[in-house]
Amino acid sequence: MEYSDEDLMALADGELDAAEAARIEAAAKADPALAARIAQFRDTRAMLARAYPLKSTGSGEDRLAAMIRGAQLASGEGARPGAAAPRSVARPANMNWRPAAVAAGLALVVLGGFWMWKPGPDDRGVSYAAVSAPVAAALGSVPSGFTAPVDGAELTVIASYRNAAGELCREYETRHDAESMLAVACHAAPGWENRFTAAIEAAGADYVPASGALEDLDAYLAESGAGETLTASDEAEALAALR
Amino acid sequence: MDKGFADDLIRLLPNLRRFAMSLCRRADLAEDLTQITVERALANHAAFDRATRLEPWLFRIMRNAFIDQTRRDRTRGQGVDVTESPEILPHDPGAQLEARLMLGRVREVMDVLPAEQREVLHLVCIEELSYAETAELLGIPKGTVMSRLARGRIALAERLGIN
Repeated sequence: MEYSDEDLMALADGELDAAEAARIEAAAKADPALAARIAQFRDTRAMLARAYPLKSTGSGEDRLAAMIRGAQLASGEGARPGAAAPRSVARPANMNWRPAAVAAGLALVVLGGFWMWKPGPDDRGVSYAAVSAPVAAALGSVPSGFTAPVDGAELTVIASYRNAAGELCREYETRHDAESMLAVACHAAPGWENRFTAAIEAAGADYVPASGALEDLDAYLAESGAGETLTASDEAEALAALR
Repeated sequence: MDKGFADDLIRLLPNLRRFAMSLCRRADLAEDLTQITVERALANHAAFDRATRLEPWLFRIMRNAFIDQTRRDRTRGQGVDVTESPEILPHDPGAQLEARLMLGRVREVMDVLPAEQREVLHLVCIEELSYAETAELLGIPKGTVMSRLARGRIALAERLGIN
């Protein structure tokens, strides 16, 4: 009986039903040439498996694993990835990049309440605006670079870092038609507080921070001792630790 | 998205990277393809039937993304990442070295097989998908999978001199 290559290969790969497999195996016992053909299929399969071993990432940090974990944590908020260009890449929250630090205790308020910048966390007696509950929920779960709907607006988290006091802080933007805001909120004992806010103007389809707002943000980051932007996995851990 | 889905997806990252490498042949392109695949898997997780295996679903996403990419990017040549080339080893090696040489030769032969054979060889023999899963993933009949698979393995055996 002539067996096709495909038949013998299916036997080697365990793709035949038991009866057919038994039949061919019995024939192979009496026929060395048949046995050799089957062995060839088994051998090539085994060699292919050995020639391409799985590789782990080696270092602890797997960017994609962190992305997946972050998406899982954010999925309750209906967050979606990639809506924001991660500005943290262009503007890392580290001291070396900063313009000269602003003198401590300086507070700038623009007339009309258009935007505000309050002094750093070591200035006692200053009370910060607590964020709303939906914003707090988003800040507690949405990974940087993701956007979530909050209160009829869109909240995009830009980056996370720790300030000099060791508090977890997150730079984020909220966009809703006429009102759009860039802010930094830090998680203190009572919860998430806005420590910096600035208005964003709409320029066609793109939103740009109002002139000067980015410089003010940088000054705030310098003043509050902002550390390096957290990696995706460190951020996921930090958020999980808040729960 | 339940934690099980995220856990499985993370567990399969090495497999995704390995398949991406087989498609793209360059580590940097493979990582990009893996990221695109992960993003699409996350975006479409609700469409995945949890009663079925995740591997075929993911590999299909990856393969479709690869086809989209190459369709859009015809002029990009298939550069070979030098760091991934098989090593040049001295002749007359000992038994251990002989085994490593053989695996290197397996990869060399895989690199020169027709893409459609390499693909089924990878999915069935390396990723251990069934003939039926592979056929469904590639959108071709099971018989076609089997004939490509058989031809590829016979070619491999001949070039490696195992008979």
